[in-house]
Amino acid sequence: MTYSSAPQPEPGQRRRSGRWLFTRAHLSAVLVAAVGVLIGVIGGRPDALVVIAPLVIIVIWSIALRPTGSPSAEAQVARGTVPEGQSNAVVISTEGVQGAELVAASLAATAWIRRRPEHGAVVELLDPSGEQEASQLTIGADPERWGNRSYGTALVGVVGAWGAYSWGPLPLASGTRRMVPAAEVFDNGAPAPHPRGLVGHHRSARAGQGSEFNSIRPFQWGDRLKRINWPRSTRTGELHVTSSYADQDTHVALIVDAQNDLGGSEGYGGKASTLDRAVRSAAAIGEHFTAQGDRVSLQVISGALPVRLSPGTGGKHFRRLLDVLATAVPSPERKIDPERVRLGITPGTLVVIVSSLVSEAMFSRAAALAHSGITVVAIDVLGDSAPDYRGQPEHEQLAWRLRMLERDREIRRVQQAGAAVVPWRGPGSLDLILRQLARRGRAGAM
Amino acid sequence: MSELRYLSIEQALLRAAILFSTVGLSILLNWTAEQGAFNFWTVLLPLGLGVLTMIFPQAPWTPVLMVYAVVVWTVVNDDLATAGSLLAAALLLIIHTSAALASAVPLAASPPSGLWVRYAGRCAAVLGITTLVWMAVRVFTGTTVPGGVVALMLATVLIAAAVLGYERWVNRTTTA
Repeated sequence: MTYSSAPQPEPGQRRRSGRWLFTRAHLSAVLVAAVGVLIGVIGGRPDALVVIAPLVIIVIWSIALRPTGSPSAEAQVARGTVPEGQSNAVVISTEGVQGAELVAASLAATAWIRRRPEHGAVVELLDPSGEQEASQLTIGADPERWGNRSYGTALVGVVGAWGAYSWGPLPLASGTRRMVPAAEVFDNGAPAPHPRGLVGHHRSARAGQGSEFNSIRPFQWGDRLKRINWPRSTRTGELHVTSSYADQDTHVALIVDAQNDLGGSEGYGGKASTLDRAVRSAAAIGEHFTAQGDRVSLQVISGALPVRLSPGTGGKHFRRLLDVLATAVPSPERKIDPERVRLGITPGTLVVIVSSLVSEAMFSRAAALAHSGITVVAIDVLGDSAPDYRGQPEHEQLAWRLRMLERDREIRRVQQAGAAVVPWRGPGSLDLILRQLARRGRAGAM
Repeated sequence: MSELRYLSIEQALLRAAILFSTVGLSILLNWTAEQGAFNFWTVLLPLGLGVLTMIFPQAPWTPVLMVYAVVVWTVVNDDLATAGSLLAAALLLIIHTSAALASAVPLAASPPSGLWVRYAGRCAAVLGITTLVWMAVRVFTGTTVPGGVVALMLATVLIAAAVLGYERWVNRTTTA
């Protein structure tokens, strides 16, 4: 099937074209048959008629089985929003294919979309009775990396018997969809350092209405009757109640540094760049805290497209958080003024900065927040994603080593300012540091 | 041309069929013309056109090859009732069908196996009718039809009917 150029269609639009065209194969058969008949009749050569007889039969046969339908086709993406690494597909449905024999479709290769089959082309053989009216072809298109990605253009064509008539190939845009990041595995057993609010998962520092046992104490006016501890009360002859800690939630402010994207990305399951790790770890932290009832806000800081998500909790909020994370676009060429980054963070908030910690703005912001008494945890996602400078010119290797030394110095300065810096190691990355921060809250120092 | 590396096995088979049929056609033309093994008009030129048809089945090389074969056949062949005409017709049928299918199916796609069964039956049916035409030409030129050929023709028609019937039956069972 030869694919000719055509104007770019609108995504999801059903394209209709009632024209069945002769194929080159059919015209070729007609031409050869005509030449053979001329030679046979005018030249008196019946052997030429024998030689071209199959082509004459094919021409008559294919005209007799001429497709009668008026085809139309559309391409749709099977699932709207899909996490990277999961399966999706482009469904190409064709109608009005009565009398046709083959429906073929192919999906153009696009960045970060893995096609199934790998070549992206599929063929369906239609019912030989010619009564089949519609056909549906599915080409697997699995997103390999988060972000706004195009599923590419699909081409669909229908062919009649003996390849004599064809419809298309028509280009069908399947559109751009948002692929959300797949959250890495994360778990955290440590309490949040400064829980606030009325309800939540974390144990408050003070007694109140909650579920975790605090003490058994004498009854006071205002205590609820259901809290009376009858065994102790009967033993002592005085009313006692079981007191508990109040359950409180916390506000976790996630700040994702999307300014730089260092290292190469191989998509889901492969080598990850710093931005991949930042986005996936932020998704993991967000999932953990929203699932346990904490309020999580998000700010993606980038010179290209800074975006913000107000605090919220629950499954719906987590899906919104993934949507916002998927919009992260690096822009190392633009500078961020740290003073102009409005975070809107109130006291008691746990600020989690997910960054490769190579941008000066993030260091300044982390230090400023820590100075103002806010609990700041910076997650270093550079780790193994650092660009590999082996084999590069010596001056580049030297420059990178100098930058790394400078970075270590800046990290120490931020730590001295009161912010905790931990490398991202998946589950338990925050356990130790959050326990230390909670202890600092009680003891006054870490 | 660079797209050829993505050829599916089925596409490669179709193109191989074009090439082998062209080789057969060249041998037939050369044998009928009683020329040397590397004669330009009966061997080299048809083979060259065959290679081009194999690489670009959708290009105009296919009709050029077939028209050339018909013209050269009438030039080199003196026996109007020869069975070689039937063989040439069969080879042209394979070239045309393979080129048409190779053009209709995307390069990398693997057509369903039902397609082969359907086209095997159709080609056998076309060949059966062509044999009838050849027998009519023999009768017309005053040559008798050998009994073996009648049996062959009948067998071909029966095979064609059986294959087409089987294909239809399989299709009905899967749709039902």
